[in-house]
Amino acid sequence: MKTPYTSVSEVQNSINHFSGILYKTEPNQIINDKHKFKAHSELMNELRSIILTSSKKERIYAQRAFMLANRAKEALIEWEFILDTVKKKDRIKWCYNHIQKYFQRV
Amino acid sequence: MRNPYTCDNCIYNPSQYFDIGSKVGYCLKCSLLLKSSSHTTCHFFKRKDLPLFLSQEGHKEHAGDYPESKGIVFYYSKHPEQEIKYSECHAWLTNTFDPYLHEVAIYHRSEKKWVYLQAFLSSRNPIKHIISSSFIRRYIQQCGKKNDNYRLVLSMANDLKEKISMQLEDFRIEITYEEFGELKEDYLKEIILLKIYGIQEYGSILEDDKIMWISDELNGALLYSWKEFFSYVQQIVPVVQNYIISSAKQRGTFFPDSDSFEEMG
Repeated sequence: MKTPYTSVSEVQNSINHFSGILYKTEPNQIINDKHKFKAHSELMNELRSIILTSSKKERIYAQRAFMLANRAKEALIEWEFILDTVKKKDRIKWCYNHIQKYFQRV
Repeated sequence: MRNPYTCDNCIYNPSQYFDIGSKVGYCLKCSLLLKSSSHTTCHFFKRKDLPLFLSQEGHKEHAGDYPESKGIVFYYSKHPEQEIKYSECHAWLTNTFDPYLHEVAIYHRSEKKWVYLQAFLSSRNPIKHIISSSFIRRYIQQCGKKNDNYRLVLSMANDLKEKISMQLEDFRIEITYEEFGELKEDYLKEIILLKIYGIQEYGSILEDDKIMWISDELNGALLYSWKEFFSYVQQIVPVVQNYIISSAKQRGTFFPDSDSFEEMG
């Protein structure tokens, strides 16, 4: 699914199975550029709250996200790009060019 | 984070579920072995880790990205995976025989799938739990409303009470004892969820809200320890079975010839 989020992990071992090249990011740089960075603990607390207070579809999605995030020690970046002037067909390439600078090869 | 759109999370690959299961998978849709199931996918992919009625949108988008004609391909590169058929003879000769993989292959060739499924239920083995829930979920989807599979679903609900004994060897990836300690509880819960999703999918087919949302009976217990969660699960089993029986009775499908059956017994 295409979303405004990028998943990252706090623990390198949890994403080793991707067996690709590892990249690291700096949360402060992301936050300084007005994007949102949700740390693992914050993400888990939010999901816990949804699981306890919601029902049906929303609860099942939250439970699934909780299980996957727990195993991956996942944190989440929400990109706050303004895409109004970018044509729909160009958006993936545009995002790639603007997101890449936040990740450095380990 | 695991990629939930790879063959190791596909309903057509019954003997694997993310990190646990047989070393090699088997696709019931393509009749091929899956040697790189954590990295491959295909047009027909259906995720195990959500009830089908909640994952349709994602499946549609995924199917659009992976044309039917390409077969099984690597997720990122989209290069085709090598096509390898299952051969019991080859497995014995190369000392690679895997009983779980073999069970899936036998099921695939079996004519009387319903009988096979009934006989296959109930086990303490986590991989058998995963296999049986995948088989049943696929089976009841294929039957749709045509056959009322309440007996299979009742058995699957009953199976929720079974204690599951998980070993380090049940993991298909290499993990340390320390990691096993962390992952074990997580996967024990996952095995329960897979069965609950199956029951919910049955409810969705019947358009029965109570069965479709039995997940809410657990009231967030997933957040507790395995011991507490399992205790909650055991408590809801009679409630779930009651929903299934009442629903089948309403439709008039619940053992319609029960008198003659009792006489036989």
